[in-house]
Amino acid sequence: MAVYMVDRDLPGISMEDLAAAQGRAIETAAAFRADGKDVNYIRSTFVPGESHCMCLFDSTSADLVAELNDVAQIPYTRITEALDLTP
Amino acid sequence: MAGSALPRGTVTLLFTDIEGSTRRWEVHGEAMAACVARHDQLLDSAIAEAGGCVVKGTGDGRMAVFANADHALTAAVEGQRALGVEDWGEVPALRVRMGLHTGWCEPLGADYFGPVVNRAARIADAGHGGQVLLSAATAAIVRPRSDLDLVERGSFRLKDLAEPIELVQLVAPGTEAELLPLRTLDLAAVDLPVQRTTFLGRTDELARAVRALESNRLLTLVGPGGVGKTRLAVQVAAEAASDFDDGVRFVDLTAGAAADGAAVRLADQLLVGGLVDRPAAAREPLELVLGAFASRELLLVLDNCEHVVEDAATVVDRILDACPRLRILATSREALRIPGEQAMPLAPFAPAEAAESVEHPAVGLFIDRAMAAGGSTDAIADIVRVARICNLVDGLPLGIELAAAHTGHLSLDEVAEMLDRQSRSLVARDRFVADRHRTLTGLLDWSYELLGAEEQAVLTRASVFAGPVGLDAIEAVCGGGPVGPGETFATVAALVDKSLLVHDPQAGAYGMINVVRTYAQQRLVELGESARWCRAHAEWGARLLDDLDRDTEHEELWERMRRHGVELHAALLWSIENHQRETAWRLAAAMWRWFEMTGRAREGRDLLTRVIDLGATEPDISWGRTLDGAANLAMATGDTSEAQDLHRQAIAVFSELGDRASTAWARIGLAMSLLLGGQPGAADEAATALDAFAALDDRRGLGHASVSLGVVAARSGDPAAAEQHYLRALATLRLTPHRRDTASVLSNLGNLAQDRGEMLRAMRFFDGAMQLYQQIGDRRGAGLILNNMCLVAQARGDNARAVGLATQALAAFSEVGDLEGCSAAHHNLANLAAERGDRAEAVAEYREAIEGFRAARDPRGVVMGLGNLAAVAWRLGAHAVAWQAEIDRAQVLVRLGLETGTRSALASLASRAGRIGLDELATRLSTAADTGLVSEIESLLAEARLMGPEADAEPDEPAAGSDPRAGDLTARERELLVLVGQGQNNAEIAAELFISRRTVDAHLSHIRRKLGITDRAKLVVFARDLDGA
Repeated sequence: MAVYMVDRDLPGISMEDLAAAQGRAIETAAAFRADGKDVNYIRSTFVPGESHCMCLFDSTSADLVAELNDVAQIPYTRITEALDLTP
Repeated sequence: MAGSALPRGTVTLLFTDIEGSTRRWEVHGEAMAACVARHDQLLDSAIAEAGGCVVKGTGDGRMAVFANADHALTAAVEGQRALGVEDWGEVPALRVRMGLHTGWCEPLGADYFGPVVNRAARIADAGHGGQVLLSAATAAIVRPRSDLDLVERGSFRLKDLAEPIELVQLVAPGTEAELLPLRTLDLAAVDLPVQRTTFLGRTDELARAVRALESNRLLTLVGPGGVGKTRLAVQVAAEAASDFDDGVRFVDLTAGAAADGAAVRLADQLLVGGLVDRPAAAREPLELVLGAFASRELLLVLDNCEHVVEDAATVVDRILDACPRLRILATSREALRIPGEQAMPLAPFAPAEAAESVEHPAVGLFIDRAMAAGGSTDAIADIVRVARICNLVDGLPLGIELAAAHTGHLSLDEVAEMLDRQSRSLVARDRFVADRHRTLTGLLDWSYELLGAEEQAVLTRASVFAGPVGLDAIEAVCGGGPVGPGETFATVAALVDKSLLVHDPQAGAYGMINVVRTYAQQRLVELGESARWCRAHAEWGARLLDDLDRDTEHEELWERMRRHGVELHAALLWSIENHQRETAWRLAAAMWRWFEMTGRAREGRDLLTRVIDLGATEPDISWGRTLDGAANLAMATGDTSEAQDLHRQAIAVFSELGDRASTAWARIGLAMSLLLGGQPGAADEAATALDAFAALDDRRGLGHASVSLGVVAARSGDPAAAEQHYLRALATLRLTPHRRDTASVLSNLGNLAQDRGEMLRAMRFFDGAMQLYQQIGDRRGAGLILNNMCLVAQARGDNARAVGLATQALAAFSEVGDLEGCSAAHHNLANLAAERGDRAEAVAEYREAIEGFRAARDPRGVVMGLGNLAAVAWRLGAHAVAWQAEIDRAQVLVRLGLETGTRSALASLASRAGRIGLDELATRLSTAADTGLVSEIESLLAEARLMGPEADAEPDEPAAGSDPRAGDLTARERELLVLVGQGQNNAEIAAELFISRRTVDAHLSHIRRKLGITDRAKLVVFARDLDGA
């Protein structure tokens, strides 16, 4: 498993919509895992001044992360492999 | 060795050859003679002890035959051991390459002939001294031995140009153990048609042609039809292939529609062959070709130039001029007659005397082909009769092949008698026709009359194909009448056996050599069936494309056009010329995108205009799609007014048919043509399309409509609204499988962020686009993104990273032959070098960029490159370079008729002239800038060219170093600042530099930030100081 960061540019998004999007990411990840797809939502960071959101996922591949975001209908800019340095 | 003692049936042949023997003979003369004699003894002894027979000496090698493959292997191993321990005295140790191959052979006299023999010789030829190579056939039947290993080397194409063969290397004490790269053709780089038959009888001509090609960039093999020009050219190319780093490309100029010129045929086949790939803007076919070849070290084989000889001469001349590392080997019935051409005449074989041996090339060729056709060795061993047949066909290789093809079912006497009768009747009929032509026609008549009805039908009908095609195509087009269902394959196979069709097993295609195609076409006309079968061909082509629509991915259309592009092009032309409206619409409706994708919008537009001129009597979906396609091609060629008109016509047709999706798509096209044409209404059209797609729940359409709205907003100076539209498009398109569309939106978002100075965001968007282009393997898309990323890195002050990105972009564009992309990458590299103060590098890169833009006929790129070159050269003290670049730039602007740009260029030149003491010239340039006529300006520029600085000083420290802040500016920013100093406003600067107002604003904002100057007047003062430095 690797950690993938999903960048999103969401100018004008409200906090409610952001929370709803996060909810969809969590639900969809759960549904994927129930189908045997190895992917897990970790957490997100939102930078209001830049309307920039970074979401972390555990997954076996970037393709699976892309599929999850497509199914959850959360727009994104790019997906890159990252390191989650939680202490 | 007497023929009776030689084994027959499945035998193993051993060929040997001394590596580097020519050099040894030159240096060691007499000593070498003794060494070769000793070498012969050692090998003959090893062969005899292993139970084999030496068939003959072959130059500095042996040919031996074994009834048992294990014995052959033993002979090779023992021979290498014996050679390895021998003391060769003053001559460097002899190293011998060996090849073993097993197959069915029977002796003819004291020798063997046929494909197995030739293959064995080529296997030996593929090795290095000390190496023993086995074909997979031999390796499969030898028994394992503990004292040796057999190492699989893989699949290779030998210089006999037959299908690739699996080779195995023997590793044993005394043999070369290292797995050296084999001397075979590079499968990827050498694109030559597979040859079904052995190259025979032209050894001297082959050597002469290979030598001639070493010292001439254009060698033309000239001779009559059927003399074997193509076969010789292909073999010459195979022999010379290793001299060309970028390999060999073969283009048959007969393959294509009759109305096409050489450049179109070349471009078509190179596109299909993958040498060029989806270049950017609309370009002429020849420009595509030049772009593909510009920097390659390549041998281009142009076959059958006589079909377009004048056109071919022009194209060849242009290619040789523009591509300095390229050589051309042409075949033609007449020379091209251009400077630098070396024409090599090729005659039929000399007459064979009755007492000839198999060594006579014509006799050898006949026997080889007769054996391949199943003729028994006893029947064809009669050299006297064979010689007579060869003479009856005037020694013409094609005639020999056609005659030999019948020896499987006719005796030599029967073949000779029929040929004799045919020849006499032809002489009586066509007294005034050249003998050679009469012979050829007679031969083809004779071969044709011997065919069965179904064979005659398939041969004549298949002549409607423009090039080689698969069996499925022949079945689809040529069936019916005497050709019953399921009989096509057997008939085609019979025609291949009779040498009338040529099979390329690698491509899975069947074709005709040109002489046969022309003959078969004439027969079809005589039968009165030409129109019927051409219509069947065009119908088949239309059916191939019927299921394609706008949602079809580029790759699918690309694949179909790769396989059938030549045929479809021919079908479209035939349909136009024969007023087959519906068929022409169906073809045009799908094919317009191919012209757009391959950068040939102008050519496609001309064709579609001809289709539209056929008219329509009632609405039809293909008619609407043809109009829409023509509109898109008009837009790609810059004719927005025509595009608007055609889009409106398409909308009317789709609306009448009730096709709401097609109507909405055409509205998006109309919106873009209105926007580019500076007309109002673009936003309304795009919004109407958006609503229609929303009602249809068409995600892709919604995404594209949002993009259109974004482009409209960006153009009208509302980047925030543009970004919202693009982000909406991104969210929608992510839910579709169309990744190229999504990448394109991300690229738009990146550009927008870049223009707004949000470099980190821009990089994220570009990164996202890059990921998608990489996923779908779109190298051109990747190149565009890399160029953008380079600009972002440069703006962020990371010169090293920017250079890395521009270099990657250059590699990506080079890979797909995109000349404009390469030029843009060179331009970026030049700007980066200038920024580092590296004068030599900057000047060299600007020159590369300018040359590239010139070859791509991109005058804006040329003007931009020359402007930057001049600016950097002045700044770095290369005054002569700068002066010439300024004049070149002014000349291009004059020719483009851009008055503002011309005035500014002349004013800049006048200012420079004044500074170097050319006061009178300065005055005249200033006057010309205000009042001059084009002719006067041109002659003044010609005069000025001779008057500027003579030689460049050593590079100075950057003059702008007088103010350290100037050192932070990029080359583009300096260029823009100079125009500010000349008093131009932002709109004029945008027009001068061919960039948008918004981009000028963005640049000025960066400049102000870097310099810490917010006041325009102060900026002008700073700029003048900078320009004057």
